[in-house]
Amino acid sequence: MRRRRRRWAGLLGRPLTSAVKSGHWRRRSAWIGAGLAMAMMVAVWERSEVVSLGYEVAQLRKNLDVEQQRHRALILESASLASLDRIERLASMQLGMTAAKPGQIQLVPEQPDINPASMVAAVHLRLQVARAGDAP
Amino acid sequence: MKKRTQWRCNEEQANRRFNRRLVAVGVAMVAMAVVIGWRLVDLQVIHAGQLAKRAERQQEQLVPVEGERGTIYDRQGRVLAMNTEMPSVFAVPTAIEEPRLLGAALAAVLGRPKAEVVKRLSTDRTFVWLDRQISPARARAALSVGGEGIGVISESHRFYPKRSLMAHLIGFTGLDNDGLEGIELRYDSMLRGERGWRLVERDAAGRVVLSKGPGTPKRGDDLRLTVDEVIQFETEQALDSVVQETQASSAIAIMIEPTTGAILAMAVRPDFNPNRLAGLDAGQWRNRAITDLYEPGSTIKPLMLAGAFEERVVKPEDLIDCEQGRMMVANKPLHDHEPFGLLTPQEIIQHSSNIGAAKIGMRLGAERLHNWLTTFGFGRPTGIDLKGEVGGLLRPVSQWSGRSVASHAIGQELGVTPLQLVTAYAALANGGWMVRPHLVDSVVLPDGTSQPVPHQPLRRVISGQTARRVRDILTSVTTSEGTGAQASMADFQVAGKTGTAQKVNPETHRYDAQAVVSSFIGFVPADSPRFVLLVVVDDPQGPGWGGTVAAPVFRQIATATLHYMGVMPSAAPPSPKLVQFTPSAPGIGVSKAGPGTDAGQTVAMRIE
Repeated sequence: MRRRRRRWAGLLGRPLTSAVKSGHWRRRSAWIGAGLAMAMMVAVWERSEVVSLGYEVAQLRKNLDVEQQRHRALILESASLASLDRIERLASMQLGMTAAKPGQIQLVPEQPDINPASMVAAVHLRLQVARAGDAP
Repeated sequence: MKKRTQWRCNEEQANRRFNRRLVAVGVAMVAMAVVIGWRLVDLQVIHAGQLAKRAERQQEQLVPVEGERGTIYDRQGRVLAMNTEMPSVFAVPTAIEEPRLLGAALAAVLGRPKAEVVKRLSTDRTFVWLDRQISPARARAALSVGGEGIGVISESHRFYPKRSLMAHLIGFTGLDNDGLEGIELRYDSMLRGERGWRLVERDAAGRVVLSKGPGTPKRGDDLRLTVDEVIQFETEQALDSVVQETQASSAIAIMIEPTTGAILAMAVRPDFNPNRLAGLDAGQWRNRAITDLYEPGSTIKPLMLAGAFEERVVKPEDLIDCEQGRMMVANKPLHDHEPFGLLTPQEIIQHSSNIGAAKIGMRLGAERLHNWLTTFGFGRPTGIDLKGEVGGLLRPVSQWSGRSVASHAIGQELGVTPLQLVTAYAALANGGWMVRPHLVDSVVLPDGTSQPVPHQPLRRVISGQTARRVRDILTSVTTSEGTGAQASMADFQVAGKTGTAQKVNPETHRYDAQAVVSSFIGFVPADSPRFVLLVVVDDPQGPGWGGTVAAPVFRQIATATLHYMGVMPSAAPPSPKLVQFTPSAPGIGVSKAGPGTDAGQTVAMRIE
């Protein structure tokens, strides 16, 4: 019994009876308790944070799914609205358009070398010449 | 003093009583602590493993996540088929008290038979579908009617925004997103992606707390087809018109790029809307372009002639006696639609003479004719990337009768699919190479990388010279003197051939004089073809000549397509010149001497 008491005293740095009597034991116990409580609080906080982030992630994932679904729905709606039978129906029934007859379509060969700026300048020049010709 | 002593006595008694109570409370608390401690040890140590497993089962759930099915695009990237979420209504019959009342209300909302809904609600199962992939409004109405035993979950649903356009070609999927027809079936393994698993941790309220993905689902690959929506639309519109005008039972058109084998359009009438399959039978969604056989009639003649040129049994300048429109073959008459005398191979094709074609076939003989038909791909599937393609009917020579050579030379006694014919003509158009028709241009992986599907010409079947000869001959068909004049175009030279094949009456097993298959096949511009187009109209009412029924449809589709492609008009086609040709000796260049072919007599001959 005495040996055990000495062992405890060795661990705590002072003989047990005197440590208890001096209140040093109580302070150390308080520190250990506070440390344990802190560790438990950290663990609880961590778990709570994980759960909270889990909810957030789940919500974000849900939002992402909803947005992706909306995106897909919009693509489909766009494709559906652009379907040629619908456009033709609108063109013929609402706008009174008719299909081009043979000979009404004239294909113009591509001229990639033409500079748009020079074309605009040429048009301006032609307009100026026309106006000059109209002038008295 | 006595009072003071008594008070002390009372105080001691009270203290003792208090101490006893304190001890009792202490003992009770210690006992409770012991019980709680024991319970903790029981939960945390003794049954820890078992309870942890049970908690995992309750809180964690391994949820399958389907990989989203890939999207199908046309060659310009327009969406043809895509998945979207749609609500499905389910019931928990064990939680429903009045299945009859609820069933009646739900049947009205869902638009389903009352008896069927009541029957489903009356089972002792814990889950039954009431209606799947319905409109959100209908699902909301079902929820409002249903109460606790009714629920709605979202399911992935295949949607075809172009409705009936390309329906036979794209096919459709089932409720569980399995490909059932067309491209959807053929490329199902690539489109469907891979199922993944997600470990979901839920709280007491069933909300998802954590979601871990041990196996991420793989999205299906996207497919980019060779078909163009605009060309397909023009083709289908033209078919609609001809079916409406002629009251034909069906019509088919296929357009193929001759150098690559890429299908630009494949249209079949009657059609269907893959978004609404209820009530349809297989006859409506069958892709007749690859499953139905018909006798090609005169459209086989240019192919047979190409074989004859290759075998050198016929030369372009040969004159063949067409017997004034009637010839006996195996004791049965063979007729032309009008009497002809001596005709060159070109004129035989131009006027579509059966007797002339039969004589060329006879020069080839049964074996070589059979070989050439096989070389052009008849009698076996083309290998297009669609399921259900048939190989056609080309009997072995051992089963041929005395009339079979003549019959095969004019497109009878053999059954071909429209796709086989258009593939064979692609070889005439591209200089002699057989190509494999295909519908998928490239596969787009989930990471966005595009993998083109390689398609090389299969093999050379005829020389470039023979292909050019036959092509030049085919341009004469669409001149004013040819049978396909109505396929001619003002700005482009058209090479083509008409076909009018009589149908066999299934009751009499004889050719029906009234029922025919009218067709026209050709390519344009003739000198550098952008496409080969076949139009087949089955059983048109009234005059059913290929040149009057199918050729105008060819012209309509070809004109629209060339405009859409931006192909500039070629130079004016050279007009054929008529020169005088005098055989120097009897029989020169004439297959069989006949009236008007003796030496010294003059015949008209067309020189290009």
